Amino acid sequence: MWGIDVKNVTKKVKTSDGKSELIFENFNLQVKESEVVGIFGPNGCGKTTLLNMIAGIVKPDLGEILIFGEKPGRKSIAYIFQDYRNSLFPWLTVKDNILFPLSLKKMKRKAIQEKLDCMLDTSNIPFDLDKYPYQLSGGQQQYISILRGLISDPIAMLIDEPFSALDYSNSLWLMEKMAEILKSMSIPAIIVAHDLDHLMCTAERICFLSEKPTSVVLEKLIDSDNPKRQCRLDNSLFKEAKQELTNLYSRKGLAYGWG
Amino acid sequence: MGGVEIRKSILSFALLIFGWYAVASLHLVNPMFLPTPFETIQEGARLIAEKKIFIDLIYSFRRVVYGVSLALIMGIPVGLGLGYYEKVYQYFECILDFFRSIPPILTFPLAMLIFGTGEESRIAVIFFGCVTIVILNSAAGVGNSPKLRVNAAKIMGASWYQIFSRVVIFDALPQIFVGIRVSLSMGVIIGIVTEMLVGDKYGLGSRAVNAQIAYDTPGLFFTIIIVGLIGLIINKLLILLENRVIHWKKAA
Repeated sequence: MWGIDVKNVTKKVKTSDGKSELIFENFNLQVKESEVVGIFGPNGCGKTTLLNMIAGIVKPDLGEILIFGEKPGRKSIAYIFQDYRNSLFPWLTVKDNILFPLSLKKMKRKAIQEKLDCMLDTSNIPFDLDKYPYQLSGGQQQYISILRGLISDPIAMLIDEPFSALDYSNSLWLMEKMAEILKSMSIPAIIVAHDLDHLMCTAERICFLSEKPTSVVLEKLIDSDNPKRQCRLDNSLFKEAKQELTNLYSRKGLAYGWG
Repeated sequence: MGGVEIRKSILSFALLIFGWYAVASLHLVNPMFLPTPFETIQEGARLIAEKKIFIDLIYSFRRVVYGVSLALIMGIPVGLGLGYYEKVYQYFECILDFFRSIPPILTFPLAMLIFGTGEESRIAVIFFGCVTIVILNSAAGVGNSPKLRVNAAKIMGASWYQIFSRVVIFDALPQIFVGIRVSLSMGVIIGIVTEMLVGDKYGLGSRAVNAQIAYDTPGLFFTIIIVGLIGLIINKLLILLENRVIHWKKAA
């Protein structure tokens, strides 16, 4: 069984001038049970719409999306948004933000505390949990939103451009954390990013998307046992692989008008 | 407000009073219309000593508090609901604008017909003038808040009620506070005007009118200053409270 299975999905959306635009036509994407897939594509090709459909907040017009054989929205999915400022709850402390998904369910306080302790044991959180999100750096805030996604034991993870609102040092820090988390989790994950470096560090397979109507034009496997995955940007193997991808990207760029 | 700002404010008030003193004591204006600060303070001290001003204050304040509280109790939930259900709001937007366009004091004669000349009619007019302000601000607070948080909560499995009580209300809080501040100022204005129109025995509005009839300009000046100070204090206290409650806005 596929972890995430997007089958023959067709989706039209309304643009701001009232016209409807075809974004996906018979789009397919399969993610293995514990695979991390990176998505790379031009602006406006519907990457976020794809994630929204998998999360179940947007319905496809045709086709089917299954997560471990079930329709989206039934089981908990971690969705990390690009805009951490507007996805965290600024009126809650860091701790309450992380525990928010659990507080929605009828869960005993003791069980919630156990979950938190368990998370604190496994992930080494380098800041005070009683602070408010706005008192932390951007990278730390995004890290909180990842932890918030993970606390409810999700069956899949969707990550939408987690680094693009961060400065360089913050995104480097978060990239390392993210690689750690994704390595330790064994759930299917889709990560959308604008920067190949970020995908190279975190994903096992990168899918290149075309312009609308969107399809996967190229796939690139990143050998996950390789030292490349250790997130060293100066690693020679990493450099080679990136060069190869950059070449492909610029060639595709001409063909698809990405440049 | 930090120490420096307080000092600046005190200095500007001192300058204003000095200017007033200079103009009044040099008789640049007919002393009939402009008493000196001393005369005003003297009259004020008398009113305070006789406790008359406090009775007026309590009466005026009570009307405003009742009227505005009613407007908040009704206006905030209605506004939040309308803001959340945008389609329903579209039906009501024009009606709300219509009611908002009516000068509230214009409904005072009608309120007196219905409720008589007692407290109820005044409270009803204050309520009428404030409730549209509260509704519109609360609705705007929901409408302008980022939809992402609501979406995030939905994905986490929040129910309709949970989204409302744990996300929407908090996101709307800053704008709700704007509504509270504006409606309190509006409430003070309406309350005092109703007192001036149909004199009650007590109230700052009636005190001002009575002082005018008696050619008691120091008393009139003192009443005006008191009303100004009350407005200022209410506003400053609310800002203080706002910064406390909505701590995240200050940082943003």
